[in-house]
Amino acid sequence: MGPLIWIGRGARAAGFAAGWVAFTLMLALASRLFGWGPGFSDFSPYALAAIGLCAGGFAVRRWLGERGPSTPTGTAGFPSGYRVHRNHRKPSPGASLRGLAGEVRAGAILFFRGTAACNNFLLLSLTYFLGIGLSALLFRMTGQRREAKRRGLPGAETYWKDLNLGKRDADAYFRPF
Amino acid sequence: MNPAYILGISCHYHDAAATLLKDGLVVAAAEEERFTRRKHDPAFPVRAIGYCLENQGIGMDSIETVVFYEKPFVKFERILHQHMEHFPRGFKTFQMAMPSWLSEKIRFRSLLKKRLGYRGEVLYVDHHLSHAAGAFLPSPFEEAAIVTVDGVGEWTTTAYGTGKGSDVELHKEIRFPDSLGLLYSAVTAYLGFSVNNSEYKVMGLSPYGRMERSPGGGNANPYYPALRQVIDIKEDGSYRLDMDHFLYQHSDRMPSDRLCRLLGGPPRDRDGELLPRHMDIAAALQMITEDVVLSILRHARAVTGSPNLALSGGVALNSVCNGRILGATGFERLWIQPSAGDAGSSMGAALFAHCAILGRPRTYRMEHAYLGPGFDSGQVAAFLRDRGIRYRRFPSREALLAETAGLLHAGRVVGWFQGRMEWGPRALGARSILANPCDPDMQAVLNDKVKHREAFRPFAPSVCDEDADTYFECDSPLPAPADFMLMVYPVRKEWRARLPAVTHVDGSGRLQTVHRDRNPLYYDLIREFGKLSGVPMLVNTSFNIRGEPIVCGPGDAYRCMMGTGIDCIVMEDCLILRDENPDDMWDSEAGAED
Repeated sequence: MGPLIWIGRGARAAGFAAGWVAFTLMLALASRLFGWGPGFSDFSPYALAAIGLCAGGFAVRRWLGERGPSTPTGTAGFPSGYRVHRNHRKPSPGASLRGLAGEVRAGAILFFRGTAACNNFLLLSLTYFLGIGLSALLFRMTGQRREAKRRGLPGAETYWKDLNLGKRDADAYFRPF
Repeated sequence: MNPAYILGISCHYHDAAATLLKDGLVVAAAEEERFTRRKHDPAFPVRAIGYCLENQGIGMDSIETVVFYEKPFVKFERILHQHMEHFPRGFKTFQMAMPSWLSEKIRFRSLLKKRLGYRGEVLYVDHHLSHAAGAFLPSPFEEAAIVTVDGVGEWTTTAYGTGKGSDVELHKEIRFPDSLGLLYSAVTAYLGFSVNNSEYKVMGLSPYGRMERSPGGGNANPYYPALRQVIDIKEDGSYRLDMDHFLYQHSDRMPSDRLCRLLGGPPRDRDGELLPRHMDIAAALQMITEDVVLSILRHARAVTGSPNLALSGGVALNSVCNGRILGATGFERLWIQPSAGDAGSSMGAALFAHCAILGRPRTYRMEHAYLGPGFDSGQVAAFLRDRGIRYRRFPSREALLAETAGLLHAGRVVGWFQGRMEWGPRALGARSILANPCDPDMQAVLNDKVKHREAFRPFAPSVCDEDADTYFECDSPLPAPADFMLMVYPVRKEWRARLPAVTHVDGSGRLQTVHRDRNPLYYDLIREFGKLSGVPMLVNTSFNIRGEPIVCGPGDAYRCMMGTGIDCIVMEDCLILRDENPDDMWDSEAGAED
């Protein structure tokens, strides 16, 4: 299995590099459209930005506790532990090529997962601080009394609240709210 | 006339599952984790749905209605409310939660279209109503009090109401963040166990601690009064948590520093040593849980006047508490669905849609939990032959019983793979590991070599229903949940020394009662074993590798045996011995995680 694993890893690295190149070209094209940056005369800042976004995304995923850069497993490597159920059917000749193609694809997906994570982080941060933040301000101005009423004041006779949830008009069940 | 198929689905939080009804009868149900081999898999249950459809030989075009087990937008409202209330402390959990909410959880209909090509009718039933329906509608009761207790649904964490005929109603609730289930999970996390996965381990640990509530005296539990400070319990069972002790509203951690100080130190590391104080904390938590649940049940009994109780929600899986219900609350009869947690809500939602929404007759009564995939002996033999696995076939049913009983009596650990897979978290004689309960070393052998788990964990027995009273001090008549291994009772004193493998440190056992009309082969095996040993009882533990779900198909079972210390598997009428297949042996413990 030794050489096969290395071939698979090489294919995955090639896929990662291909993703990097593609994203670099996209950034260069976008900057040319908006008139920012050096455009097609110098790709190095775009390449740095692309790898930076990807690395930032991996850092965000790590911070959020996601298990490393998750990759779809290609066929070149096998999961640890139990290897295969012994199967007397021989693999088809095309299987190795398909496996390699899978590893290249996996590498590219790995790159874009990083950039997507970074992108999500930025957008969600904006939503959090603007959307949730402003709502929180309003809530704090008016919400304290509502909160106490919702949970019941400590020392009340009972904390049971009316629910009265039973059969309703059929329309109510077509709604996800 | 074409049969009416209703598909119930639960997913996205934990324990995704699917249930299929045909003309109001449950014909198939399974948890997604059994197919994906990821424990408590919350993902959209494509494979479980696929199994349900294949079981009936239909496609999604035959489904009349899909029913989802909660109202996702109401739950989303609660999540956003939490973030508003605790801004900016929830920044990290907001980042963690929002991608899945925005891409999947509030887009259930599009998910159905994309994953299954389904464009038909979709119904949404409130979370606790799904729980309540899952408890009452499959029960034998025509009317009953219903109580649901879990972590949290949309807003409700605890509720009670009534069921009558086909109708289910919930009258009162306690709302998030006050949650008995989350209190249990927070202390589970403090004790170093994984949340939504290992609460039952804390239950199993509790008898090692001091179980005396009153202060003073040698056996008084010092953590009971401490934990009582974090929860205000009223006479009617309603309760309120002091949220200064918990962080789950805005953090991925559950216990706060204040709770840690109250409990005498930082949380235990996952691999850290279990000290007597941890056992006392587990015991205190168990006592508080019982205080709350039994108070709620007494109140529900008084308010509803019904002698019947249908109980649901994740907390209903606390079988130690369940064993006390009939003696301490005034209820005379009890029913708990074997999958009382969120997976079982798929069944509840489907049955609610059939009975309450579509107004069809309530015809289904759950008598057994064997609703998952089954494999006949031809399929098993073909699997083994294809892989060159050495095995032999029993010539007759009698030979199977005699040889298996002989292996068990000789101290072998036997994997038992028969019929349709169980529904719910317990193995009930379809996907079980069996052993001799009279062997004093068996608990250690099973914990160490087979299940690779903590030494304090007890094992549960299977016993023929008519023998339960001989060996256990159980309620009379024995409630139906004992069939699903949901009741813990004391082992009779005269038998404790003879049943060391299934008697817990406090003398209790979580028994499964086996009925001949529901699982004749398993019943006869227990009887056959009884002829050899004098005690018709078997250790029954779940057939799985540590950290994995219970096995589903022959491949999973074979893989489990070859990676653990199980001596052999009896798979339909085939016997596979571990030692005869040395090439396939592997170490399941390397890389295993709870």
